[in-house]
Amino acid sequence: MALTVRTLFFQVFPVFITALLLATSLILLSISTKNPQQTSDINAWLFPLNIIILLILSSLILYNIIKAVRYLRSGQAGSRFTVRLMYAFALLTILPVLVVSYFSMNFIGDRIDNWFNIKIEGALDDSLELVRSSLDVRMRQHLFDLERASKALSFVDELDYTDFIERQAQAMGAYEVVLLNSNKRVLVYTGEDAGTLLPHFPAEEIYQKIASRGYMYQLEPADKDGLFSRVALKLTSGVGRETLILTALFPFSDKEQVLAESVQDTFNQYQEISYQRGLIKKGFRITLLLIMLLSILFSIWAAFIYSLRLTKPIRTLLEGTMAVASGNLQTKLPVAEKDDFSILARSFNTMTTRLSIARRESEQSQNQMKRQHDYLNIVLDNMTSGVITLDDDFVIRRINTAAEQLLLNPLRKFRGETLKTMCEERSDLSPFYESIEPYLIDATLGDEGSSDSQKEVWQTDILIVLEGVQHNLVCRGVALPELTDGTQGHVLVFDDISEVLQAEHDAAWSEVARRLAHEIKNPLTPIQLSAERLQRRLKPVLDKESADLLDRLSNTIVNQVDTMKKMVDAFSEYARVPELKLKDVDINSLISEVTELYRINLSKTLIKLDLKGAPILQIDTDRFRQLLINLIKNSLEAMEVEDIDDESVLTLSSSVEELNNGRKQFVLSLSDNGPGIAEELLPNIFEPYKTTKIKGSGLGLAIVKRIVEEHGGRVVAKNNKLRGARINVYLPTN
Amino acid sequence: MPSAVYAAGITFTNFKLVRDVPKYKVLTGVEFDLTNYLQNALDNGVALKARVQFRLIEDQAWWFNNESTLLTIHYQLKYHALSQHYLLTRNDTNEHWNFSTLSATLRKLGELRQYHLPDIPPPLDDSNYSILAVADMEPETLRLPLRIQSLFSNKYRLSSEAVLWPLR
Repeated sequence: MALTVRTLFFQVFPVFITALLLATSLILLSISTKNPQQTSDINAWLFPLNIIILLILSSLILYNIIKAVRYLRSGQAGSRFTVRLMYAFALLTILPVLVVSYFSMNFIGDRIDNWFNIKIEGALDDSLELVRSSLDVRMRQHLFDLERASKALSFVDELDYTDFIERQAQAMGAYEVVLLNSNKRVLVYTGEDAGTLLPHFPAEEIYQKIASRGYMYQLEPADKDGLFSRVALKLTSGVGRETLILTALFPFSDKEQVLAESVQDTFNQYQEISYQRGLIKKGFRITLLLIMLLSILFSIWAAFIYSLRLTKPIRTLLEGTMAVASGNLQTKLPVAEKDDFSILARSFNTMTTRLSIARRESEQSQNQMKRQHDYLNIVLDNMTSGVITLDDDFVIRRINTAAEQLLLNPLRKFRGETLKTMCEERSDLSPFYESIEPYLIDATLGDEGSSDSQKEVWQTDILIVLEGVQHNLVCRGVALPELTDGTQGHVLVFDDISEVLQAEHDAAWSEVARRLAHEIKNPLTPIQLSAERLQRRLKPVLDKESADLLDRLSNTIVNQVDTMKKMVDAFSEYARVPELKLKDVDINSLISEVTELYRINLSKTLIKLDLKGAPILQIDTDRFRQLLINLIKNSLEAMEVEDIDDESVLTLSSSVEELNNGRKQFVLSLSDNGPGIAEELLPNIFEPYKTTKIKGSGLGLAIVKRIVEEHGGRVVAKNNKLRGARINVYLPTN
Repeated sequence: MPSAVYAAGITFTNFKLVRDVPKYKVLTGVEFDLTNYLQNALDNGVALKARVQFRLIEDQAWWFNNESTLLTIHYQLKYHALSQHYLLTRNDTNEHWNFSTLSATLRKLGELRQYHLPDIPPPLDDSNYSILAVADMEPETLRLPLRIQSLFSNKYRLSSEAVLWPLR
């Protein structure tokens, strides 16, 4: 993976700089520890430098911890693993360093304590004392020389003091000889070097020491210029003369100087180190602590950085996996040639590519399935047969439009409900379910032990009354093949064969009517003529009683023959092949005209008209007139039969309605407040001889239905909610 | 008038600055009172360094004062075990003195009488200018632990409070 500028700037550069600072600090610490006397300048900025490094490292660690916690809280991929790794690395780094540091600190303390022992200290004290004794002898010698010079001085004239002292100084090998009076005033000074190299003349001290004993001698160090012997004594040159002080500074021999300095320096160094033993130990410990602290912080930070870098491929992989899980199959992982994760990344990329292809194929299949599904939907929705598919539990999976039309109910909302529920909610569909349930159960039970080849198709007829009209359905069912999820199901295909049956029925009735008309009508006229002839011939020859009997019988025959003729005519009318003479008619005017004929009637029924507009329909006027007469007569006769307390009312209303498909239909409605139609008769009211009336041929409503159907309409009979019956005639307006 | 401020260990006494045209003359004494640590350290061979510094201060009303060092006197104080003397060295002049007692040594160290400061240009010797004097003392080589501890304690390092003498 190539180093980016960002990585270089934010990761490599800080590591490099911090490592450099740390190394510098550690080297300086090491130098400082080795030679503390010469590193005061280093020490001056070593501490701030270490503080800066500590702050930098602490800030970096804090930043990494905050970053890790933020990742963890936001639930980023791989954050938990990264934190665990950081924790483990940090722990693995800290523990060994702590253990080593603990033992090192104790070890350093013991080692430093071993540097100092009583024997060395005593030896050094003895050496110092020895040197002191040795030099003491030399100083006494110097004092003796000075004393001898002082005695000689007492015989010298005051004016010759200077020359004498200079000669004596040279003879004694003194650096300087000074003669002072009692007021500390220098009377004579002679010396090799009166510069600043020698210590200032300690006149005060000399006077103090000499006051008690009359003489003094002491060592006088001169910083870098070695050691001197200071001797002084009091002298009195004669009676009545003032007391003078003669003092001289003598150098020691080079050998004495070197030995004395060596002992002094060694003693001094040992004393200093011994005194600062605690500080040295503390110094080492602080150094070690600082090294340990810096090392730990650096290691922790390095562990954090390393953990982040180490887990980066895993985090990338997890992010990729999550992206794939969320549906993004275009995710590709970067493949690093030198990375062990490259195989994994390549496999992942191959997987996502294959998944992507598979998804594309799946989408294509789904599209194809959808197209097939749409195709199937279109086919099913345009089928004239109703189709209902059920699952194993008879739950409805699909209902086509034809099924709704055939069952005259909006049924799509029952998808997902059981067939039983649907039929229970739509009570008029109960016969539908009752008819097919046994077959469904048989098919389900039979399926359990049968193979596909054994699946049987079952079929049944269903008689169902919908919206007051009896429908004959034929339903065919078959078990569906098993699906991939192991479920099966059933498909029900049904058709309304009412019209077919009605057509067959009508054809049969027409045939019967035609035959009756043909077979009965022919003999009726001879029977009537024969009866009239018998009456005419026999009446004159019979006595009155017999003649009356003959009249009654003949009249009965004639009347019954008339009745039969009428009945035959009615049959003829029913069986007549329609030849419609269609023309545009204002149908409401026609209704008003026909109704007017029945304004006065036997049942004293009030006829009301509620006709809207003046729709023009193409109808056969004569046939429609007969339709109206049949309907009005039928209602009036129904109300004659019943003894009605209230006033009987027949209401004819008409309107034009718009259907769902945009077409319009003319609706003629006849509603009365009579006894209504018996429920058992209602489904077959339009069939010949389906009547409860005593009067009439029993073909009135059958003819009505025939005329309506000749005009392409339909007629429906039902009872009013409160009272009476209603017959609706629906005719197409075009 | 300037106030003599007593700091822990080092104190300027009777501080006085006298105009001795064209120079200024310092008349003061500095009392060094060593802590036990410093006294023991000195007796055990640790060299001490002392510093007396005079600075010229220009008072600024709205900003930090301007400071320039006029004079710094460096001393070294150590104990010579063989001669049992205290050695006092003035580094700039390379003068040195020997004393058998510490008190005599410190007295000598604190002598700043008739001391002439470097020339101060005439425009600066009045108005907002002042002379500031400070003194301090510490071991010549402060080991690391003491260096850290000296940040929090004056036991290992003595310093006087500043004495300010306005030049007007």
